[in-house]
Amino acid sequence: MELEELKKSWNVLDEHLKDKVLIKEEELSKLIAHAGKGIHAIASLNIKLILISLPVLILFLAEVLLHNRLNPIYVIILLAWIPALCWDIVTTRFLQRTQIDEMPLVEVISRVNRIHRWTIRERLFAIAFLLILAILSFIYWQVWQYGMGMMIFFFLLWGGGLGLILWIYRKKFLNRIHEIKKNLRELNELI
Amino acid sequence: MRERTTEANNLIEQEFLSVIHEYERVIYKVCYLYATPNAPLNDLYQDVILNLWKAFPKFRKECKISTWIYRIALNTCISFYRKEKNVPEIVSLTEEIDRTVETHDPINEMLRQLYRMINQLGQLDKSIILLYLEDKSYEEIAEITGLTVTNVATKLSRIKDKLKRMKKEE
Repeated sequence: MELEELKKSWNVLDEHLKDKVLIKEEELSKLIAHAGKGIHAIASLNIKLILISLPVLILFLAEVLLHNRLNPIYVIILLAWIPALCWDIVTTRFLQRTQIDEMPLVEVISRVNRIHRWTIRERLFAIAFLLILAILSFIYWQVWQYGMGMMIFFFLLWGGGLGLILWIYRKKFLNRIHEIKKNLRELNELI
Repeated sequence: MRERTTEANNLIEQEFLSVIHEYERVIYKVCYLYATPNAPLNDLYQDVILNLWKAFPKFRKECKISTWIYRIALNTCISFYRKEKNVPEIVSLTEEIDRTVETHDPINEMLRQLYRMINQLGQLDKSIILLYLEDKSYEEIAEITGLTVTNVATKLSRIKDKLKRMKKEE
């Protein structure tokens, strides 16, 4: 089937749809009444995470400073937390500025690809950081001194935390981006 | 004051509805080509309409309305993520073509073949061929997709080759 043949078939579809009411006006009005919610699901999730982590960060800071518990592990956490929060704000702004109504297809694709790359790197950084933190805290608090029970609790706690973070990343970010990217994979050569 | 705002909103809504009625076939055809079992025609159609409605007040008429509609429809269909539906199904198309039609219906058989051929192409190729079938000029295709005119021409020629190969393989 060549382009001209395709065109013939396309005209058949066009003819078939001619003079047909494809959508009822009352349904359309009902639909646009529902249009309040945004389409940038990943950006909204980012905002939620920022909003949750901000008070947690303040509480953590208050706890550390008020009770004078500043130790190397907390310093590392704080040093990672603040840039991570800033990075989240940057990516959220980037997603919010991705206007599918104004940008040409190629620009949208390039932005989706970029955010996909960022998300993968973010995940790798998060895993590496948590693993290093787990090892450091294991050594710092000399967990082995408290017996096997404490060690098991320690591993379960860190394992669970890491698992939860990876699950959130996978479920809320990567799966969504993969779903979009699946459509765009073959366009990589253009970007 | 509130009355005036409501009146203005009603006017925008009326204008939007008339645009949709004028271009409903165009929107349908874009969704038709991008519909899959995971992204059913109704859902795609609904999402395109929603995105058009959200963008409508910002439409500055810098390009043709058809260009604007194609761009939003194609971007929506390509980046459609079904599980992330914010809106329950409200719209049901009155005319939905069945792609699993019996082979003895010549119209549907032609459409089935068209759908099968085009669906073997990549997403961007699909949008280029769709715009070509809609008799859009190379310049318009370039404006909608963001490619250069030369790139559009090259792509179309490659698509032609691909279709020939597909035909041979059948």
